[in-house]
Amino acid sequence: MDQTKNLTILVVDDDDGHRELVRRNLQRAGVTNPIVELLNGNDALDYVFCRGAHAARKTDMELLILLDVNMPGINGIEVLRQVKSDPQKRKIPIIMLTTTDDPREVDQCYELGCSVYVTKPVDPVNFIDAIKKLGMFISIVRAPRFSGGAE
Amino acid sequence: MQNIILTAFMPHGYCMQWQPGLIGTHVVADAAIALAYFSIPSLLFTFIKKRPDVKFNWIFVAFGLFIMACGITHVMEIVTLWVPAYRWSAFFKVITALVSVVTAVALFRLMPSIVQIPTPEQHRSLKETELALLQTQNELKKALGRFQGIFENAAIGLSHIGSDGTYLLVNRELCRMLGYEPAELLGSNAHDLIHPDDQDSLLLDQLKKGQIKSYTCEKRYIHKRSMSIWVELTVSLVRDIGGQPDYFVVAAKDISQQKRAAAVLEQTLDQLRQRERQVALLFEEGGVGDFTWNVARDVVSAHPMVWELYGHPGERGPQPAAWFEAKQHPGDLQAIRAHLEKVLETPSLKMDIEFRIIQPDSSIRWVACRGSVVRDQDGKPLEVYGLNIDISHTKEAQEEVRASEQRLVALTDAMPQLVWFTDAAGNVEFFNRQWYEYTGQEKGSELNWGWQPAVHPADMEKLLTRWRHALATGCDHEAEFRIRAKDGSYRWFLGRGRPLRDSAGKIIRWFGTCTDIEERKASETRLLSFGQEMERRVAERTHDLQVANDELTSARVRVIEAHNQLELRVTELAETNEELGRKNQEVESFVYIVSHDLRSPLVNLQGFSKELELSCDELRENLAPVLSKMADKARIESILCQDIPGSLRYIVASTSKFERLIDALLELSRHGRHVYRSEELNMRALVQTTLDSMRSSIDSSGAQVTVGEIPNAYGDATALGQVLANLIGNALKYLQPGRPGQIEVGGQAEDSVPHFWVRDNGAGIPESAKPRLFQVFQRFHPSLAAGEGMGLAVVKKIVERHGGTIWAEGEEGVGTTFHFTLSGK
Repeated sequence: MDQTKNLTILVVDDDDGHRELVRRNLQRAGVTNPIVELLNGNDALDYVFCRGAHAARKTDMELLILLDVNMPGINGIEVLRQVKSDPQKRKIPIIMLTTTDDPREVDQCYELGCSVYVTKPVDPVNFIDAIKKLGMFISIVRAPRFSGGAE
Repeated sequence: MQNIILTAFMPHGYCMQWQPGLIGTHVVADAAIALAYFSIPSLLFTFIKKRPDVKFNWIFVAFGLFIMACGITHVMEIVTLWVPAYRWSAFFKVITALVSVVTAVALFRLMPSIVQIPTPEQHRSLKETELALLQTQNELKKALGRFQGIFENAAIGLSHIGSDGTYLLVNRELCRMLGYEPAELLGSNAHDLIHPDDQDSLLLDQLKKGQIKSYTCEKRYIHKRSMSIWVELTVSLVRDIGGQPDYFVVAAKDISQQKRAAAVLEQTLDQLRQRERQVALLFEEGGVGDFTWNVARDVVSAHPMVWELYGHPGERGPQPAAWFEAKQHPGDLQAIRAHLEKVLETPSLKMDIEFRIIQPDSSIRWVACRGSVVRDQDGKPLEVYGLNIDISHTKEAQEEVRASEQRLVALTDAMPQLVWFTDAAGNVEFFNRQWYEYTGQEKGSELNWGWQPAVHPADMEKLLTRWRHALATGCDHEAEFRIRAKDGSYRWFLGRGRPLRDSAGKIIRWFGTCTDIEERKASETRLLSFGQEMERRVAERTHDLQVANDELTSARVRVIEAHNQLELRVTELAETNEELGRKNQEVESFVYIVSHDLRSPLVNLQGFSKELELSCDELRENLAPVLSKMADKARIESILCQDIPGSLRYIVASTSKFERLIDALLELSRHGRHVYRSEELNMRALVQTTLDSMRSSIDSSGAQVTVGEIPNAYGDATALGQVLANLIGNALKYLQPGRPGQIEVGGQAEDSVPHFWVRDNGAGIPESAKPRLFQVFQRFHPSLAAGEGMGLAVVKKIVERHGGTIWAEGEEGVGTTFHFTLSGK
């Protein structure tokens, strides 16, 4: 499973707490892939398209994006739209993370081509399952431990 | 061997006696033949090589070999002239014979096939036929493409339906109209999509029997989402070669909008009729009726009130103008005719005249006639349209005013003082009898400012100064001056004047008296008080008159005002409604935003509580070995194993409760903002669909569900489905434990208002809870089922947004019935 080491996980969310929770959940699940945290949509687009502050980033890694919808400035929907309309970058899997399950918003995200739509708070077990179902090569070194996590 | 040959035979030249001429001729001829024979095969081989398409090419090879062999025999002829190699010659001849015989036999057998090889002309025409065929095929393909394009993209729904009713071909518009994917429709039965009430097949049978070529009809289809849509169908039949029905071609046009437009039109007409009734009521109340007089034909058609005004309530008309003239008062007739003539001649003039009508019982009725003339392009009068208004009451009041005025004059005449009235500007309009008797002035000359000669010239300036001051300021006027008697003598008078104001405070008149003060000393006090009393009474009386006059004027416009107010009220109501809708929307979007923003910190609360739980677990595991060695072991253990997890449980429980409440609020606000469709719904089908979707929970509850009569209604299928699901779900949830559940869904249409109910024999509603039943976050049987107490609030919102109402009946422990109504149109 050499590919596992070639996947970087982008966590895009303006809320520090939400980012922290996602990161902890991933790490507790045993995910060892590098995790890059980005605070807004603009920065996320710069990272994906190797622009601005990320012009010189290494490009030998595959990406998986965990994307919040409600962010100031460029929001998650717009980031999704721009990534999915780029012929090279459209194959990057994107998981939408959001606080509401407004049916119109869900429809819009799936129409634009998001892979999975997950409502916060994220249930760690389901979340990891969803990522695995995408066929993503995540390097999990040990079985996840969620003793008191699920209700 | 050569020697043997040479010795055994003699060369052929001997036969020709070695005559050089004969031998030369043989040699030249044979050589030429051989050369020719050798060259032909090479040509044949080249031909075959270049034309591999030529059929039977092996015959060319055989022929080439045959000719080659012939050539060799001729060479042998030349050789044998000098060398007697006859055996070789014979050998070659045998070979040639073999080859030629084989070739000949092959040719014979091939002959029929070769004959059939087309000639170049035949070949060309064959090619042309093939080309034409190909072209025809292409045309056909194009035509098929065009047909498919037209079929698929037609603006009306098109389909081919097999004689058994299954869809064979459907186009995009039909799918759009019915809400299905093409794959769903194909193979399904078209009959199943038609509204149960519209499933007559009379025309279809006639079509099948060949009695008619095609037919057009209007039917309702059931859309995938259960609503019915009106469709105009044109059906024709395609028969196979044997004349048997093959398939139907059905064109369907969506006429739902036309139907809706027709319904709206009907509604508008209803409103108009209502309006008409209101106007009629106003007419009746106000004693008003309208009429139309066709000038050329001399016929008058009129509102029933007009006939009543003319004393013939049962009359319907129309009648000529003479009929009306016969009833008009002879004293007014001339004035009416003159007025009418003037109005007809003068385009800008409106009809406005008051006259008397003599009733059959000889009583008099006063009528005002107002109207205008309708003219053609040349200004020629076509008809007169106007109103007849009963003004008998007004006229009586006017008569009353006139009588009052006469009484007033009599009163002033009876006074010893000189009494006068002026208009607002000070022009004298009236003197009483005493004035004329005292001054001897002629009636007429004294009016306006013509009284001045009667005043002493020396007092004139002072009087005028005071009078003008009073006129300018509106203050009471008072002046002492001398007035000349008719015998030329002067007596002193005290002149007083007082303004009379209308209800707005504007001066409309001055009235006053001139009191002889020559003998004042004797009777000053008495006279003065009498004069003042008179002044007061005159003022009162005049004021009364004024009030009466004002009332009459206002009565006249009251009809118009009432009408205007009615319109105003309608507009106000519409504005209030709109304002309410806006306010409601504001509140809902506020709730939405707040709930949305509240979720963000909530996620952190929930997430980090879980983090803390996990951390606590880990801490406990790691501390276990160390703990046993510690002194305060019990205390630390209780903190780690009870206090912290206990607190965390409360936080987790509260945050998840918090989350459910916010979700419920979001759901509610979503229903407030949602734009509903309004279409005719087959509610029975909707109830059935809802019950089907709830089948598993119905089965597991063991309840028996019966469906009664269900009328159709207008509304949004999804939202009303939710209402039904919620009410039925509630009935299932709150069944009385230990009693078999019975749930009834029923309905009826009352005055075209559809009314539905869901009745159960469950736990019922506590009397105390009824007022708060439809409010948010209300729960009455928390022990029986889980929930947020939002369901009924959402249901109420949906029903009210459909223009209906919802209420509940029932008794605790006996059962509950939820009723709701919807808009019928």
